[in-house]
Amino acid sequence: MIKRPIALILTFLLMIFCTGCWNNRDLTEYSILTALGIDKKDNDFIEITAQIIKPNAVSSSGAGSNGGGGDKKSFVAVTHVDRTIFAALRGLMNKVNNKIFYSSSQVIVIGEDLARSGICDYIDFVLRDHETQYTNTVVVAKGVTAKEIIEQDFELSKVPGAFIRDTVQNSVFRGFTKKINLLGMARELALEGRELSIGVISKPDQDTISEGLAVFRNDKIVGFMDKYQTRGYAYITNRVKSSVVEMVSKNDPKKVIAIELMRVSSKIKPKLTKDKKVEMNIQIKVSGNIGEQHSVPTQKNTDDFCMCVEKDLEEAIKQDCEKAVLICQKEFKSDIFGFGMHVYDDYPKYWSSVSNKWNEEIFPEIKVNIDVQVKILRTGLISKSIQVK
Amino acid sequence: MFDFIKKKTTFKKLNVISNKQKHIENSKSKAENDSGKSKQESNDQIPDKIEQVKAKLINEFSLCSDFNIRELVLGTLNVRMMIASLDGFFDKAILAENIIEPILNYSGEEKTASILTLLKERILCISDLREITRYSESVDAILNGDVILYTDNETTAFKIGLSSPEKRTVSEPDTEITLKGSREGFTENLRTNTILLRRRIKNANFKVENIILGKKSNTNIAICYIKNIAAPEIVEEVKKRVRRIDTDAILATGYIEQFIQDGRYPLFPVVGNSEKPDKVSAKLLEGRVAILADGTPTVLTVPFLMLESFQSQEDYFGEYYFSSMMRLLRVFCYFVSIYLPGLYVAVISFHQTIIPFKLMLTVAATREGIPFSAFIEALIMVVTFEILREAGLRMPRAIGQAVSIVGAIVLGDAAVSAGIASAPLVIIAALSGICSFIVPPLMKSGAVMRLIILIASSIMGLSGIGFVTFITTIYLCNKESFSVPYLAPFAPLQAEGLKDSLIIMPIWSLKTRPRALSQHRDLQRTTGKKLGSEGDS
Repeated sequence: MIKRPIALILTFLLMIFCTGCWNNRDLTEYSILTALGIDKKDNDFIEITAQIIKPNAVSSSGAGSNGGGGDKKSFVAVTHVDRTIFAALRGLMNKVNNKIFYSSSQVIVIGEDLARSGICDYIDFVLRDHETQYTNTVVVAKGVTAKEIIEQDFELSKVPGAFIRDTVQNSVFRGFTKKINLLGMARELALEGRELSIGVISKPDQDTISEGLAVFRNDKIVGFMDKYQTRGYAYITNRVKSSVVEMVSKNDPKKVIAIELMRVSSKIKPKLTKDKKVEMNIQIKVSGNIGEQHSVPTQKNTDDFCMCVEKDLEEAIKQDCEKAVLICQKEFKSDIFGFGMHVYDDYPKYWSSVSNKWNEEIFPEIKVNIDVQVKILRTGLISKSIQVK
Repeated sequence: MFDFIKKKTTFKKLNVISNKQKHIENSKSKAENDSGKSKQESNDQIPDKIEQVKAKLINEFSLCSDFNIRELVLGTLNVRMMIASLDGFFDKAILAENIIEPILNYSGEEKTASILTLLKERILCISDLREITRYSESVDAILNGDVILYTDNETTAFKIGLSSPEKRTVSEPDTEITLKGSREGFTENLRTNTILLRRRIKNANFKVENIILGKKSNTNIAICYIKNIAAPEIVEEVKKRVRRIDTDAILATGYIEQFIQDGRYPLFPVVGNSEKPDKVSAKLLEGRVAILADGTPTVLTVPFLMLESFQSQEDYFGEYYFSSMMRLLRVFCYFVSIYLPGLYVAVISFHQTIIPFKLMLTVAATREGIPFSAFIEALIMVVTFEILREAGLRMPRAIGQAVSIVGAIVLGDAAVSAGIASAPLVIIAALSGICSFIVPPLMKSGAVMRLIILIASSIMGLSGIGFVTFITTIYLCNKESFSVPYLAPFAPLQAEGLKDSLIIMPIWSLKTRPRALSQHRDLQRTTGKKLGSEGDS
């Protein structure tokens, strides 16, 4: 029989072999990273830009922030060039005194050049490392380097990484971009019958804009979609939450009507015809409210007006979708909608016979039938516009 | 892993059994001692000559300035008598009027029966009168404040119960304050205390057994229980353990508590304390045993379960939904008080990943420039809080303000602005400290648990906390208080008992007493609430 103290000591020893919380490191010994930029630098080299926050400058706790803010930047952007991301991140330690804390990263920006030459090699590290988080939002920098985005200073927020993440989220609600995190990206890369697409961030002037979509084939960029095409993509893949659709009134082409979409849902149903052609039937159900209208001030019957608007809206949404499908089929030859996946689900035998040539030969020739059903729920607080007399 | 636990528990059980065997052996040897004593008792008789008694008493009470002897003669019969007492224990006027005066003024002609019957039936005008024959008993009675009347040529003396020592009036206890219900509290006087209980339970089944404990102090102890409700096994066990106490003095019930509690070094309280008669009566009615000691206003109740720490007398006085909410709050506060500092340290030094991003920035900003690790910092603040609490408890009231000012300004605000402690940690130390006051019975064990968890978390992070929780849970599940499982009614689970556990149902629906306590006896407490006209007719 073991003596009790020995048994206690043994149990405490066992505790050491339990799962690992071995890394006792205080929060103050970390540099907090909020955004990471990856750019291609001539040939095989990559340039890493890390946005590191100065916690004291960010936290504006009442009394503590005397003289805070001002013209001092709340973050530092440090860069390092190396052959792998891992080495480059370690190289950053030359310029930063504390170990970098990756888990707090909010956004990863991939430079356009890097994305054109293939990203597969470079996301290996962020997926492999135990400290990075799979929930990081990934965006592609269009027309600028990732470094410029990372170094961008925003007046409204002292944490630029979080600011970018939030603006991306806002655009996602409107359907103008797509939010994808590291895990989703790895999934789309690995998935058969679906190509990768990542939201775009650009910097046309002083401010960054996160609208549009970068379309990949395999792991390389083949082109960009504008925001309306992106919304078409979002309709089809059921990603629109609350968007405002503007459309031209049929009665008066100079005037516009704006509809706020309340609920959008879509269903994709593939169909294999007898002559081995694939048809995609996409059913989109939309309900929305009239948000603003300039066109028909003297409309007598609200119901009639709604019917009329419903038809216009159907047309507008259908156009968005068709444009998105068309550009992917003809120009990019990349099935970002995941049509292949649906075919695989419903006709696995057929899929195995075409999976090799799907993107190049089959996908561009698919006939896509889009059926939009619109319901106008409410007209806002007033049923008729004000009549000027 | 689980095999290991089983082994451990059986090993503990075995230990308990071997302990019990030891106790049995002990009691046997004691019994032998007792029989030895009885041989001596033959010369313990009161001498029949009053001079001998006097000499013996004076010898016994030499140098006791409060010892009084009054010699007198019984009226016309000319029998010498002697009154021995300790001064100050009783009202002298009563002694003079009801005892001395009738004796001196007795004018009966001749003695018809024996002197003793005469005294008992005709002369002594006192209600509490008892005959004693043993000398040592008479000495004990004197020490207890009674008056002893010795008569010449008799080996029997009278014990006259006049004892009414100075006592505090019944007042509201400072330690347990209630808004509703009785405001009476126990006092230092044992008799007052038993009366406070008896007044609430007017039933002959409410038993008060006296035991005298303490070789030097000879303190009166009362063991109270309600026959037919309290399980006889528990009552016997309590009596056995109390009798087994062999110590110099019982100055407070806390001494008894330590002697009778289960296990040698229990980390959690297994004996309940209360100063309120209504609370103790309620516990007696649930089948518990109360232990009262002369000189202490605190009454012990056993068995004590973990759950009782979260119960308050006021829970039963109405608004069961509010009481349920408060109970859940108390449990929550208990966990906050023991886990919060440890959790903070674990999260700050091991698991930064789980802090929400914005909170992390705030915490990082407040911790910037602080020279200590989170653990040292937490330790400083937690210990500081304990110091302040202890100081507040022990200091004379007049200095109270100084301590609160120093505590609030110097240790709170100045520590933060000097960069020795971070503001969140001051909040955490204060919060966990205040939360510990919400569950007073567990406050002391909570302070220790907090430190243990803090240390574990600084070594192993969250898994250290998990480990301590795991070990503590095993410990608590194994624990018993007077053979009642400590975690009842949760482990082992008793569905009926859950009605009065973390939540409390309306009092009319608590139909039975706690099953764990009054095992199979007289379980029914109420038949429920009658609705409608049935009850009116």
